[in-house]
Amino acid sequence: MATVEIGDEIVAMLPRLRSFALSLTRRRDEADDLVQAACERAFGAIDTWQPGTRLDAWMFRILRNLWIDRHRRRRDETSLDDDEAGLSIAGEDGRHTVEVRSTMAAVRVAIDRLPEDQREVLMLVCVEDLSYRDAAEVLDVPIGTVMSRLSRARRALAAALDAPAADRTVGGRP
Amino acid sequence: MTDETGREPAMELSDEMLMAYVDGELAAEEAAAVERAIAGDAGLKRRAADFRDTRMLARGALAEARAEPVPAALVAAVRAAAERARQASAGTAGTPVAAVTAGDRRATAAPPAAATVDPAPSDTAEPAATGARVIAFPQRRRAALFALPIAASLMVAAGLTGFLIGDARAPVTDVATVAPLGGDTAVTAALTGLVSGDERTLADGRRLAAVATFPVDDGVCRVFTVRGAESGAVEGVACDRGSGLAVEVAVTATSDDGAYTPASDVATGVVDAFLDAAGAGASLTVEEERALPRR
Repeated sequence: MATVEIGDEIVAMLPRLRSFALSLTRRRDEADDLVQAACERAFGAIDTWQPGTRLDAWMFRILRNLWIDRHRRRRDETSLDDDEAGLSIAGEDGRHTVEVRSTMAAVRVAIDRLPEDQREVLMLVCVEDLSYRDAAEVLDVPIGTVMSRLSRARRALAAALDAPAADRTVGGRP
Repeated sequence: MTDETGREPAMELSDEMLMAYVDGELAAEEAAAVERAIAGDAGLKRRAADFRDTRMLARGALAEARAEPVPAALVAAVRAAAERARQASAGTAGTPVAAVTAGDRRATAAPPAAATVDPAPSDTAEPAATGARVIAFPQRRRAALFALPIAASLMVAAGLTGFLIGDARAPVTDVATVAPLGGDTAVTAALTGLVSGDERTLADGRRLAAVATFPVDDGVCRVFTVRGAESGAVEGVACDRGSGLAVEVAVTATSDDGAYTPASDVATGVVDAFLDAAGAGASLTVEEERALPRR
């Protein structure tokens, strides 16, 4: 495929890349920055994409690897960043009760609360419709790991949504 | 192997197996075995419904973010990067545009080329060389979620209703239920005579509006809303797959004080997820709708 056509495809894919990036960064400005950097990296390495394989999965992989690189670097620099930005996730002690305004807001909160490794696989399979195999390749883990993370994520989601709103907390376990 | 009842012993189904079944990831033989196990077991049915619901809810919850327009600056930057790659592969690297950005990501946020990109790209405004168009959602692999349209949507309805009954004590401002309206022939009969944009008052006073019509593999699906029903505003999809219109999914959104919540993001998310899963194409024009066979 010519570079021009791939460019078109990647531009068409931007809404999906943004929503995946947002699920990783949870900040819009950072998500857009990540998407842009991932696209640039992709165009720079376009020869390594194998025609006939899924371009979207390849892009998700580049984007995620880039995020991990940045995230690691940032964590080395400042360890308090996450808490200060209000980005604490499941497993920590602080239990802030959130007023859940609607069912979909409740779903978003529950997704946001998932550990990152579960949230990303949920995004790839349930939102982006990647097969377990494609998701495994994006994440560089065995299919079994994809399945266990994904089933845990969905059970946690179902449990969170079954609970009364007063029990829906950010940072606590259902 | 059989137990004393002469049937196959209850299958030990792991979450992973059940989930893989729901996601359409099992080989035909395995899927058939799981299906048999589920058929006779309410607990398994419930667990499978949870996996189905969570997939649909995740999509619905994130549909909004994906429908957002991509910032023009991002589109422009990506196009500029594509253009540089094209020039590099054509052996023309070293042109001013390529030189500007070498190795500096920040510099590409607004490269010279970006200034010429139309912030609201359209077919006519874009030169053929880049020719990029923003397409809302590419066709995706069909999810097993709605593999059996009617049965599956009823199952989703059951699962969601369960989740919302559990939710009823909660001080939420609005809730949504997915309810089968399959028997609501007043809606489907009236909808048959409407084209998108039309509204009609039904005999019982409810107000039906035809919203849009989408082609699917084996027919058409029509999005509609019904207002004035005691249960609140309903947004739904009725499909004609060769034997007349039948409602396949309907989402009721009500607020806790009983007021109607029109066009809730919940309903829209669920309807979008349904259309997506049904492989719906671009919506039909009113003229195309008029040309559809009437049953």
